[in-house]
Amino acid sequence: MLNNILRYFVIALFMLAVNVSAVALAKEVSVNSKESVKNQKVEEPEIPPDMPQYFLKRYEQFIPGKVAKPIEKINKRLKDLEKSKKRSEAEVNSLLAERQQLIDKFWSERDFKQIVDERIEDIQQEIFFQSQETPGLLFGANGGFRGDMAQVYLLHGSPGDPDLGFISIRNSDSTFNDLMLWLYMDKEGENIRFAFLFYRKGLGGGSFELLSQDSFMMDPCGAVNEIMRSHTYAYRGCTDEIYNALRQLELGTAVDGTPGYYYAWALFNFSQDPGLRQGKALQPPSPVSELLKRSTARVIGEPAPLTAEEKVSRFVFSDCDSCNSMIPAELNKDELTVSIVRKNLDWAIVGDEIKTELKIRIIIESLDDKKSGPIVVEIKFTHVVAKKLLTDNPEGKLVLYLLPSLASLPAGNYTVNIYIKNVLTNNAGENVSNKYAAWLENFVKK
Amino acid sequence: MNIAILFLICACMPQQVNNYPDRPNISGWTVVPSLVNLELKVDDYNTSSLGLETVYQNPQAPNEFVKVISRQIVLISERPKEGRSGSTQDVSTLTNNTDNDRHAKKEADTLSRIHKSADLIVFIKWRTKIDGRRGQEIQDGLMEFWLLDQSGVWEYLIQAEPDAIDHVTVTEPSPNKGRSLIVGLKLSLGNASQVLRLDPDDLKDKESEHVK
Repeated sequence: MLNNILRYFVIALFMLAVNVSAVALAKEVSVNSKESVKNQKVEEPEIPPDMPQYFLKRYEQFIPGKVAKPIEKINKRLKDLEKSKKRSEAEVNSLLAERQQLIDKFWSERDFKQIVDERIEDIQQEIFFQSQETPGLLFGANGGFRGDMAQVYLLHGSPGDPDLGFISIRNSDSTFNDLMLWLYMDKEGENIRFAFLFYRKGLGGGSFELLSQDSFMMDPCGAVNEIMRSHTYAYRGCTDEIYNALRQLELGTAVDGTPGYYYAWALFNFSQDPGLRQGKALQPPSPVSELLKRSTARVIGEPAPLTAEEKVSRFVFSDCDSCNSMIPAELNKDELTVSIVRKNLDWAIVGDEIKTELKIRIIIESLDDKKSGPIVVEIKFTHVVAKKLLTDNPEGKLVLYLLPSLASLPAGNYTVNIYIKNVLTNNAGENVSNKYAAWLENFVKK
Repeated sequence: MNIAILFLICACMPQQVNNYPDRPNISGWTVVPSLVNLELKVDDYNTSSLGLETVYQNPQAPNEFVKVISRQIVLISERPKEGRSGSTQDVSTLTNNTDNDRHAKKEADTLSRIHKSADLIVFIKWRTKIDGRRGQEIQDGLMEFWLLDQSGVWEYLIQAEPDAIDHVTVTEPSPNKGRSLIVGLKLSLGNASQVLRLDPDDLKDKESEHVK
């Protein structure tokens, strides 16, 4: 209880200090702004507003170098022109338009501006300050908008949103300074996706800084030394003191109940995904279009969509009960023929004619002589008939003789695997049917 | 061996008609939440979706069930290969969906479109009752089976045992000599059969797309 009172007293004092400095800052800005009128200078606020001239500073974490460079150039030129007595309004306008174009292009390739703006607002509102889990925690006191804490928040939001991860603060003791862990879980809540470990450096406390696990991957004792109160730059590898400190960290518990081994784990590990490094997680996110280009993921097989007009004017699709994916067809095992009722096929209209394209794959294997190996035949078969034939005699059959020279096949027992797929395409060469018929049968050649 | 294909246009022939009981009308029945995608795992990254297995329950007679197997246009889904280029997986939580998530969504959306126009090829109907002795749910009476043959004709069977429909794996010689590639599944009931299978060339096409 006393501790809590003391803590809130300290927080209240701190807030007072923050308010006083805010007033002081306001005065400074006000004085500066008066001066700026004189000197034609504009002071930049700590959190840059959503204006084109502040674009690079406001969204710094999200802008890759190749996007930033041309905008930096424009900003520099605009600044030079501002100072110049011979500035041309036309050039200024053209540069402003060019910059706006680059900014618009940047956001058109990314769909997260609203989320980023909300996070900036959260930082401005100091959302952690009154949270039950993180009372008194301020972005302002930890590097502000450009601090490590804000950087992680801007890129990844709060670990507890959705409610799978958490923020835990381990108060300082005789061995370690204050530690703060931001643990992000994967969507299933099963594995740790990111673990950002912040610490106050040295004896003096100060603001929370992010521990770079990447730097200590090969030097675990160095990581322990880094967060110790007795942190020494003359560190010479693993010592008993470091082992003991690590053990103490592992076995301890933070005030919020988080077991110490979470902290100990996060000292040397960033993610349970072994390919994921902290450095990568702090890079500007790529636009979705770029990710899609890099992606190896594919879903194929769905027929290309057709407009209602195309469906009627360019194709004739089968409409029997079971013709959505299937080409109803009859196999005669004795003669190896396949009969397909004409109306059960999909056709393309070509003037007064209709055309169907079938891919036929036949695999014959001898059941008597396994060593002989399979015979594989694949044929693309295009069949064109008068359109009138389909209208006048839709029940007419197309008969495919798959093995006209059965005589050449030695007598014996065989397995035949037949696959017939409609590979009709549109003008763009995309499949529009993909319906198929298939058999796997044994037959006896006498 | 000389294998060729000829074609012939012949006059229409009468369709074979069987005097089997009608297939159950399941409209208005409730789906028992046990949808099973008939999938074929080609390798660590490729999965082929061949059909869907759904169990329906008669709301008027809750002890009456029908399992329906449908076949569809075959989809091949290749999951992102993380680490292949070192950067296919975006780590940002801002885009709110990773490569895997985007792919899963695309796969689900495509499957949902494809399922809407699937062909129903198997119906299995049964009833259940409570076993007085053990208090467990058991089969009540005979099971009925309908299977649509590749020719478009339905086959029917009624029997006590639940295993009337045979399942056989369909394979093809793999490009890797001496090995075989599982390409599908054959379902048979009596003389009728349906083969649900993928086109191995679709796997090749995907490879060539990546090369581009």
